[in-house]
Amino acid sequence: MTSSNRSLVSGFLGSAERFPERPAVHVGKRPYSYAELRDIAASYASALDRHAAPEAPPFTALLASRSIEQFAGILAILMRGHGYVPLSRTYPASRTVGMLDRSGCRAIVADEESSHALPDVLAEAAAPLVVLIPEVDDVSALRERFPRHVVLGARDMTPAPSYGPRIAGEDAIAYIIFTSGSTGEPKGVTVAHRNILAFIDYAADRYEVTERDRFSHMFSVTFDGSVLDMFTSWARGACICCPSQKELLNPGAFVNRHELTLWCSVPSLALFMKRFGSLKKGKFPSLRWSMFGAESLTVDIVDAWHEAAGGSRIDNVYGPTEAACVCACYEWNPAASRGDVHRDLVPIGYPNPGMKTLVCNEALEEIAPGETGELLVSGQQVCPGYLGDPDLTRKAFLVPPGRNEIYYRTGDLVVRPRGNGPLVYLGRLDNQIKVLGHRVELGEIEAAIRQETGVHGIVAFGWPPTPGGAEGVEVFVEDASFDAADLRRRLAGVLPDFMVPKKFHAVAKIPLNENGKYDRRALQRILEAGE
Amino acid sequence: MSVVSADEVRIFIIAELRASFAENNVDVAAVPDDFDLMKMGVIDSIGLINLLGSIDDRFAIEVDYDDMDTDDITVVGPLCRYIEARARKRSA
Repeated sequence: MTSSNRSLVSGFLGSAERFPERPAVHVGKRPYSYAELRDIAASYASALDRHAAPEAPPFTALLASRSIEQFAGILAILMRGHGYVPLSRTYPASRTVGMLDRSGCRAIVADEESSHALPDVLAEAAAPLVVLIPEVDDVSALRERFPRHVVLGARDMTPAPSYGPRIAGEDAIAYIIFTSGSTGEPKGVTVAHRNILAFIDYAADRYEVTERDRFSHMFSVTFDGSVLDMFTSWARGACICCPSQKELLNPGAFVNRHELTLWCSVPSLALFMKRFGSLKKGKFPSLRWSMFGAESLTVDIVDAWHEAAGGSRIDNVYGPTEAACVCACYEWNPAASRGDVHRDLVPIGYPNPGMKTLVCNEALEEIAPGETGELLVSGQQVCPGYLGDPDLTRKAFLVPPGRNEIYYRTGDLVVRPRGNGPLVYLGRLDNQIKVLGHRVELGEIEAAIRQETGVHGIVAFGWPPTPGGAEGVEVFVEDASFDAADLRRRLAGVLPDFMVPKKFHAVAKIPLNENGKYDRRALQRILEAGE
Repeated sequence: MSVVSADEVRIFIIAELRASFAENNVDVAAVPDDFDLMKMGVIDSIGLINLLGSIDDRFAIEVDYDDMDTDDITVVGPLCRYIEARARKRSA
């Protein structure tokens, strides 16, 4: 296949031809072969096509988690020539509806477990939707309650073995991932097929993925880490192994039960495994490559992992969603890498082929080696921008002075390497934090509380800190009269659960620093004192 | 070393999760043995990590997933009995 007629689904379709009988995914207690998964996806795609409004924008939403519907749904959406928009049943309905409206989705694929979230979404949705719940036989209750929408269940499905997939152009959008936005609205990052294919091609080669591999699926599909394991596996005929919610609680047993060869997770999961005795020496003989990303990777975690998976090479992978999953990586060498460690952090390494990095000061001028500045990235993986937000896109994707290409401003603080040294990630320039791997803009939480309470003085913290970010969020509120339990309940109606503050600190007055800004350091001392 | 009983662990767990039980309208005086903390929404996976961490601290035992049936890890009765057995092993 030439590069001009490929899309993100092409690798899967090729593997379905080459390895029809090999397992493509293991989910819900059983494996599904490539031929079987392709046929299921084709039946979904065909059902959606039969009922779709002809003028609908080329996006279809996915409301499914750790189910066959999740995997077949993504493939079906791509086979329709659409981009997929992953949603979460744990998000408040208003947030989900906002994402549907803004992306223009007129169709949703939902799994049985997520379908309980549908009534609130269908009640609020502005436009009529086609809702496919392919594994549920009886959808009459939803159908009767929401006559404005078309609700399809298992009985509306027919096999479609001759379904002809539509290959979207490489500039078309393959997926939209919504991330937390500092102004209070989530940002929709649009990623084109050519952006993500550049990465998948590279990753499949770097990790030498073959049809004999078995790859973990630890990330939610609302997070683009999931794109790495799904599409590099499918490009080469490998099998994705998807843990159930229960299996997620004991990842070590999961690795061995499925004899995984490839692993990718947030470092905090490895830390969790270490704490509960799952990283004993030689525990994971089957692993040959392990990738950690989305949070800072510390030396103690990487050492513990190496002890348990001595046969596995280890990569620290870095990349914002805006640069298609992973745009730089660093292979940890237990003997030689110690000299590259900075403040106990494993470097994020070197840009992928076709990608360039620049470390700048506030004027976007390159700084001297050894200095600290903002990381900018350029190249084939940099995505077109934010959905329906040209202002924000212009601010984040720009041509720095003296350069000819568009660079994406990551907002990440790094040390500019000396000579051929690797990049080291130090943290964020702004108030974005990671809560258990999720990107969270503290400003979005503050804006939501301001809206709910009318109180202006609000300062949010990621707290308590973990090596990779924070366990949760705690908030200072300049008002003693609010009811914390009630406020938490109301925030749960507008924010995803990982953004809902675990604790509120009522203060008479938020201290200011000498610049007249909220004195975050003084507040942090209060948190550290455990008051 | 003192011996930890499953009942003691149970009292500790209920005290630790009192607020979550209340939020989910669970009567803490009548939590059945087969109550699944996760299925019933009292804790999520992070809550479980925190809970196991508190149990570690309180009873000075090291939770080790390798000798535990993790299918039952979120069910009150089996979890308490596991901690009891683990403490006994430590004392032995």
